[in-house]
Amino acid sequence: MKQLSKKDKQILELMRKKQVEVSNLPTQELGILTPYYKNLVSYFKVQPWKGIILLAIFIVVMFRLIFGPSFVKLATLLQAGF
Amino acid sequence: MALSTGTEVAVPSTLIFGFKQVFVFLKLCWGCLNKPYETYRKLSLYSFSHQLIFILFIMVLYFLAASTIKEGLADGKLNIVVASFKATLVTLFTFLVTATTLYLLGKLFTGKGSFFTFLTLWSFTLLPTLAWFLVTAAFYVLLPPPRTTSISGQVFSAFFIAFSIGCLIWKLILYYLTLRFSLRLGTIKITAVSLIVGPLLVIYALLFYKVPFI
Repeated sequence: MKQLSKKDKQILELMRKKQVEVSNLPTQELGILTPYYKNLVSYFKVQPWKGIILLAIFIVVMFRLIFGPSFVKLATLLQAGF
Repeated sequence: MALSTGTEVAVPSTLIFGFKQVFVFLKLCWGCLNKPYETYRKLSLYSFSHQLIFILFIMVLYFLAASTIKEGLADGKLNIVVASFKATLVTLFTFLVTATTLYLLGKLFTGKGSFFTFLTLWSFTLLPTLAWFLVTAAFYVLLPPPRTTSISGQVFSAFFIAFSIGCLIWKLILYYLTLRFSLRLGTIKITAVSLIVGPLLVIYALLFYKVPFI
């Protein structure tokens, strides 16, 4: 039987570790909502800040449309909250 | 090839270890922002508890800065130290009470995992909190409130509110991942825990803070 090289052993060890990491959690099942859940979660797994920025801008625009210029009061309140 | 002059000073191994830990911490912070799912999985599987010292350090620095802004240097340095010490103690108490409540509730919903792992993951949810408070404190000095309804006032308000919402969403993602990875809860159970803890936190925040440091 062919002896594994040091590099092969390292790759195998990395693969084993990755397998442990990935299989650590049971998969999520939400019935008929599962595909929607998986689709939504995919946006938050890698580089979620892209989605966060878009969502935050959308909410701010909605705030401006609903409350008009008086939405600045929220900024005043938040600024005094630190 | 460089020749030895015989005057090199050996770098202490503790210093190298310290720099390495700072690098690991920065990498974890970036991971929490860029790849939160993968980073939290690593945090739950391997021991990163010693990284909490950096979060505590930034928190103490923030409270020192915030107390200086609120109290003012003219009122004396002792007031600043006392105020920041009080704020740090209150925050640590709130942090531990919130963590314990969440952990016990998670356990009630058949969650599996150690409290120490939970505490490590929960500590990293303080990153968006710290980011928000540090930026808000800086803006309080640069552009003190109140905001006006002028164009520049509205533009800044829009930017600031968007930043605040962004931090909140980031916080919620890390909160979800904490319960998911440290207690292995599913989405339905996490929602149930949140429905119990959420109102309690809102009542607590409204009673004691404008914006709670959680």
